[in-house]
Amino acid sequence: MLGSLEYQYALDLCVVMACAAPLQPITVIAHTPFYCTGLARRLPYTPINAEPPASATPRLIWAEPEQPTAAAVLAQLSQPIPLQRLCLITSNRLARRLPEWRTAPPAHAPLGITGTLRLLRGTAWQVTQVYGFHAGVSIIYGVIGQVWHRLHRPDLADRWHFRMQAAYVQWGWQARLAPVSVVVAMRGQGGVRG
Amino acid sequence: MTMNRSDAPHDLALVVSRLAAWLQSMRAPHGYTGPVAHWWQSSLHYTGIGIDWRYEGIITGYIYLYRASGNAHWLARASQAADDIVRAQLPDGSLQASSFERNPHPHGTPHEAACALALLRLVVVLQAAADLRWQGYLAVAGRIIGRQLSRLWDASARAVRDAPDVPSFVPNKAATLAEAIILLAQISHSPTLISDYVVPILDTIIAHQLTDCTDPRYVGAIYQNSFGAQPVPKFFPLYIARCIPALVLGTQVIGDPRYQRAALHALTFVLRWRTPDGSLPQVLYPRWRSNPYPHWIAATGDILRAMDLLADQHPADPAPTRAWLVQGQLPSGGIRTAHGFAAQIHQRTLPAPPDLRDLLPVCGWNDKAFAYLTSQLTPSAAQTVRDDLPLKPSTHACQLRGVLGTYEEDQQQLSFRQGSRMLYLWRKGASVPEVCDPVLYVK
Repeated sequence: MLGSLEYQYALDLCVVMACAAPLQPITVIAHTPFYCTGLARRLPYTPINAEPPASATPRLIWAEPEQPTAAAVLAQLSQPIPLQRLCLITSNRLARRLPEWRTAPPAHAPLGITGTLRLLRGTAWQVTQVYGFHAGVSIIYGVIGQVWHRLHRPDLADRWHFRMQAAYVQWGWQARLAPVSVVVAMRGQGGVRG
Repeated sequence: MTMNRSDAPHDLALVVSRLAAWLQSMRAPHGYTGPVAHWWQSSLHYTGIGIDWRYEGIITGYIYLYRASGNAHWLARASQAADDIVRAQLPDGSLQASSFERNPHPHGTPHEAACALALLRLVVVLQAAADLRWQGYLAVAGRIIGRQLSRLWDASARAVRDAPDVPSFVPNKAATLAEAIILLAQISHSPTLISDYVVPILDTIIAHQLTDCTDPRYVGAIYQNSFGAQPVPKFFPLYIARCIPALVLGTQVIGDPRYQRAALHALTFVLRWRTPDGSLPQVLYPRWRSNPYPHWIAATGDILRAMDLLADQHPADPAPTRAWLVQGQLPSGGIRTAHGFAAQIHQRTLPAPPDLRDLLPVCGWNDKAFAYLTSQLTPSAAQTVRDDLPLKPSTHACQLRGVLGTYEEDQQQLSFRQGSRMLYLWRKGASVPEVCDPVLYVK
């Protein structure tokens, strides 16, 4: 199964953002088969860890914080190295409607975007951006496209579909309404808070 | 620039040389890489190796070059590409990163069948040359096809599905698989493969063709796909053209004239919508409705290939479309993807620089141009083709989502920048871009 565009975006953008400095080592934390497979395909030479490894790296991908373990994992991640960038994937309430959740759930008890931002608040991690996939106007455009489809206007349905795709990535408050989000946080050198 | 087999063979050889050199620049050690621009969605974020339909045109093009020139260099290139496919095969027979615009997912259709088809074309050449490598390639192609059939064959519908759990049929994808099965049947002397799979597939393709409709402009059109018994009323000239080689091959092998008639009707439909500049609309819908943009450029190689297959029965002149294709070649040697991506939503072109996705040369589109152009070379012209020409840098004004900038490409990298601000930087061969501004967070 190819999976939803939401998770495809989340995995792709996490990897793109984490790999912005290609010579720096990267740590990937994931434990469900869904994320392990998706990340291994994109980063075939990077080990996937179920828990944070002992040595710290400047770049981290965490897919994804879960309710019982998130605080402990974050504590293990917060090691004293000069500068770190963390990209987290969160599945939010609407994510459960996505096809992955019927076949290979990405998470068991996801912390979600609200819980993740709360978790990071008051720590050394400073959230620099939150991206959400298929929220707000993107959903509205998609619905309009479906209406045109039902009215037997596939030409207009396709145009609204592409309008929806163009608005698929949201940031700021709209991102928090999305089924799936990516949180980018920095730690160290000017990024320290709390 | 307009050319044909007789009037400008050495110009054509230069076009092919520059394209072959560009393809080489896109290679990582184990495959062809690069971003993808496509109608359904683009892949600007995953830029690594794709083992998809790009291999059909690349390997076929090298085979044409080898046959026309007798130069073993091209056979070595074809084998190098075939080895990429071998290396990417997963234990279940499917291929890694075989979903083109949705890479790095496996199980791509028609991409895995297209890879098998490419391998089988190479098997035929290697057998003729008594080169025993054919055995390994045949085994891999057989496993790909076996996996496709075990995963997608719908025994009750007697056709291949597009997804295992959805009753569905996509004629052009099924056509690619049918072509591969015909070659496999011929090589392995297994005629039952044709009766069991190819005949039902071709019959289902014909069942998706409009033969008697109230609007004569749609006669010959083939529905893009269907779900159960419900056809989807969309007609893509490119994908209809991609049905033609299987119908022509089916006619030769099975001897059923219905397939030849269907191929001719399909080509007539495609060319009925050709514009004077040689380009074709992206998609047509019933009642003369269309979303014409983007017009493919590199991919028109597949439309020209279909015209070539039916050249002795269909009077159409390929010159305008061939000129449209060749004029799309960038200084780097790669051929532009399209014209009009910026109009995809509104379907109105404005006087503005082209969209970044228009300019972006993509391996999985350039392969179609490569296969067609190499097929047109005379033996003497083919002798002059080389793939070690230095790439000329390409620099063009372009836009993406309202952001004006400059597209640049050279031997090592491809980029999009606004003044001194780099928005996108991909080092050729890398699996992700080194720079990707949020303006490029789009699929």
